[in-house]
Order: sequence, then C-alpha cells, then structure tokens
Amino acid sequence: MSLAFLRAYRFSKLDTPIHRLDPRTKLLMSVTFTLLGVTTLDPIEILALLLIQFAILISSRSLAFWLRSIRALTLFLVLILVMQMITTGNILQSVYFALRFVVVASATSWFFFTTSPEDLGRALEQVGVSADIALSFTLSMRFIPVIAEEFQSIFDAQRARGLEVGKGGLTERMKSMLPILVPLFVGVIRRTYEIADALELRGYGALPSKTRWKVLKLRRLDAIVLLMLVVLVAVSIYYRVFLPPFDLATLIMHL
Amino acid sequence: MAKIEVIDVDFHYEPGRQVLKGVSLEVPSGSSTSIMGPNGSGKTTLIKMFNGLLMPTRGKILVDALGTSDTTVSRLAKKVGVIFQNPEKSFFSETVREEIAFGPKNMGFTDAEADVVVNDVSTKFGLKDYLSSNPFDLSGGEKRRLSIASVLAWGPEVIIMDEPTVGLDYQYRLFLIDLTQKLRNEGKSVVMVTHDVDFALQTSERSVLLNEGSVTWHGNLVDLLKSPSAFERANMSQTFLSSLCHDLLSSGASERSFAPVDVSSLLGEA
Repeated sequence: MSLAFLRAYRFSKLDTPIHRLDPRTKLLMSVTFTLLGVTTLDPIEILALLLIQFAILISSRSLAFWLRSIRALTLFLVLILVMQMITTGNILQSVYFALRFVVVASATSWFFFTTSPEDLGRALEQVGVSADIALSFTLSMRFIPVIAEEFQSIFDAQRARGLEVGKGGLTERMKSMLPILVPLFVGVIRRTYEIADALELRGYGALPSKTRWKVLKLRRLDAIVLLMLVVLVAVSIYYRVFLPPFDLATLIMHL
Repeated sequence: MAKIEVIDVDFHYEPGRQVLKGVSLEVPSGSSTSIMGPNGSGKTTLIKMFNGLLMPTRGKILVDALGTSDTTVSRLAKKVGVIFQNPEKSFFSETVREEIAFGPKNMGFTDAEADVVVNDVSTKFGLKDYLSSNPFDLSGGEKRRLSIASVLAWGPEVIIMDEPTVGLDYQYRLFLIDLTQKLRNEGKSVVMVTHDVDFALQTSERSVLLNEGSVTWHGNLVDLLKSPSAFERANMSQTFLSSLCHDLLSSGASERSFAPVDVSSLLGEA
C-alpha cells in the first residue's frame, strides 16, 4: 500500500507555454473543462474535450504524469463502468460515463502539474478570495506529498513491528489501519500548530493589509487562450441547443 | 542467530535514479556493524531491505539463507527488528503497555506471554512506572527508550537502528552504548546506521562506508581510522582525534602513526 499516486499530482517546474500561462487562465480552463465534462454524455463532446486536454498534456510535457494519475484511478474507472452497466444495462452509456470521469480527472491533473501551489494562492487572492483562505489552500497543496511520505514511513515502521494490513474481513482491515492513521493525524495536527507558530513568528498577520511580492498579469498568450475558451463554450452550447445528439448505436445500425 | 547477506544489490525508486549500485556486504551473527555515509548515500534504503520493506531491483538479500523476496515482512521482522529514525512518530496506543505489546502480539504472543515481555522490557528500559501513561506524554528520551523497548520486546536476533543519536543528549548516547554492549553479550547482532563516526567507534567493531549508493570501504573500524582516504572517498570527515593525529604526523610533530579510538587509547599509544 502506498500513497505514491498523490505524487502524480505534484507540480513539476518546466518551461512550457502551459506552465507560463497565468494561473487564473488555467483555473478558468480547468473549471470550464470540468463543467463541460460533467454536463454532457455526448461522445463527440467527450472526445473533443479529451483531445483538447491531450494537446495540453503534450504541450506541457505532462503526459507521463497524467498516465500515472489515471493509472491510480483505474479502480474507480472500473467501478463506474460496472455500476453504470448494472443500473442502466447500456454498455455504450457506461463507457461514456467512465470517459466523462477521465475528462474531469484530467482537467484537475494537468492543472496541478503545471501550476505551483504559490501561483494558485496568488490566483485565488487576486480573484478576491481572502488571504488566509488562499494561504490555507496553498499550504494544503504543498503538504500533500509531505503527508504521503509521512504515511509511507509510518506504514513501514508498523510493518517492521509485524503489522499486516489488508488481511481478514472489512472490520479487521479497518482496525489494522488504526496504527497508521492515529500517528499520521497526530503528526499532521502537530505540524499544523508548528506552521501556525512559525508564520506568526515571521510576522504573518502583523499588518492589517498585505502587500504583494508578485502581482499576476494577463499576457497576450492568456488572451488568446481565453478567446479559444470562449469559442469552445460557444460551440458546445450551439451543438447542444441546435444539433441533434450523436447516437453511435443508431449510426452503427444505419451502416 | 541470524546472519544477513547482501549480494550485488541494485535499487531504484524511479527508473534512472539509482539509489544503490552493486552493494554486497555481510552482517555476521553476533556482530556489531555500523553503516556510515553522508545524507542520501542509501543507508536507510539499504536497511529497509533487511526486513523486506523494499525489494532489490537486482541482486538478493538473504536472512539466514532465506531470500527476503521469498517471505513476508512480518516473518522477517521476527528476526530483524528495525528502529527507524524518529520512531516515536509511529506511536498510536493509549498506554505505554499497549505500545510495547503491539509488536509481540503481531508476532503471535498470547496475552499472558505479551504481559511477561512488557513487564520485562519496561523494567530494563526504566519505563515500569509509566506503563499506564500515554506514550505522547513521555519526555523525548523516554519516548526513544519506549520505541526501542517496543521492538526488542519480541526478541529479534538482529537489531538495526537508523540514526539513533540524532537530536538526543549525552546521557541517551551513553544509554545506547551500554545497550549495544548488552545486546552483543546476549549474542545478538547490532547494525547502526549513522554518520556519527565517534558513536560508531564506541558501538561497532566493523564498518561499511557508503557513498552515492556504492560501498566505498568496509572492514574493521580501527583500520578505517588509519585510512584518511577512505573517509574522503565516502565524502565524510574523520573524528577530530584521528585528524589531529594525522596532522601531527604530516607536520613532522610526531614520527609515530596513531589511530586512536578515544583519548584514553591515544594516551595508551603515546
């Protein structure tokens, strides 16, 4: 057992056009892809959203990370597929459902590969989120890999004391997780207090208003991407309102 | 008593980032060995393989002639007890008694047997009065003693300590030196992972130096003191005393070659 998959969502500092985009642009792109993804079951739209995100992953050199993150979600994908097949009995629709999940998961993953927690915090602050909430969010993001590592070291230490996780019935399995989760939570709470103290000791909150070290500015590339995003949403609305939904089963029957 | 053999082991966490390269060494039964090297040299990774927490990507590790990949961690843990750095981070029980009993119960001890070992080790480690206390309420030194007691409780034949001296005071250091001697008297093997050469000299007879995942030197620790180049190859510094003796020799202030383990041995040699 490992939380190594969390590392698949870790920001990697690269110099690509996607990395250079303003984090607010990327946030809007990610939210748009997510909203378009969750509101459609049309295969053409799902495919289009997947292809666009595929292009983003290639241009941000994040394809390998994306594959790792999707691999970690394989179990969920299979679960969605099976549950849909049981409830609807429609194989095609179940596949669309699973692919829709990939669209949404991808929108989150490339965003985190290409946006540093600090940039995300700045973006949140500049769109009006309070500085405290933005900082909490940034710190949470920053500590995900640290907690994953802590989990691994506690897991190793307890296994070295003979703990066997994942054996027996559900109750036993859950009970066997306690020796890992209790010290993990204790550690996280302790670390939270330490960070809060360290921030205060370094003057956080001493002034009523904060100054900004780095102010985000939208550039030409952002304007182009935002324009493309508007076009994408417009095309999607037109397709949904004015064109008949695509039906693969009927198409196959006609052929 | 258990013997550990490491045979031509390679390991990487991610392809292309080799952590161990062709490591071969032996921990004979009843021996005391220190594994030394700078940060990132692969020391902790290596000891995680001794009880099967990590598997080599090439080569093999044998514990009493049994390959670590042919058995389970919990079976290996019976023979090889590992005390990790900051072991108090894995405390989870409500009482010291339960914390010590956790390992023995996992190893198949009955409640009565676990009670016997809890009483035994808590007495040895000065924790008898705290058996009903919460482990998180203990002092730093008591927590460290508890973490060692909770591994020694089931009687492993090889005891591995990862950076046991980091962040602890002189009294605890003396306690560890004394403990190592007692464990050796009981016929157990002790492996210390450390970059504290002075501590290694006081607790171990043999040493393995690692640098960038490869063994750069191994042998008797006193011989190591005579070889300043071995420290250089491992990217480590010598003890103050041995570097002083080498400086005296190279400056012509002394004509004799010293390799003292401590001040009393220096006075003995001089």
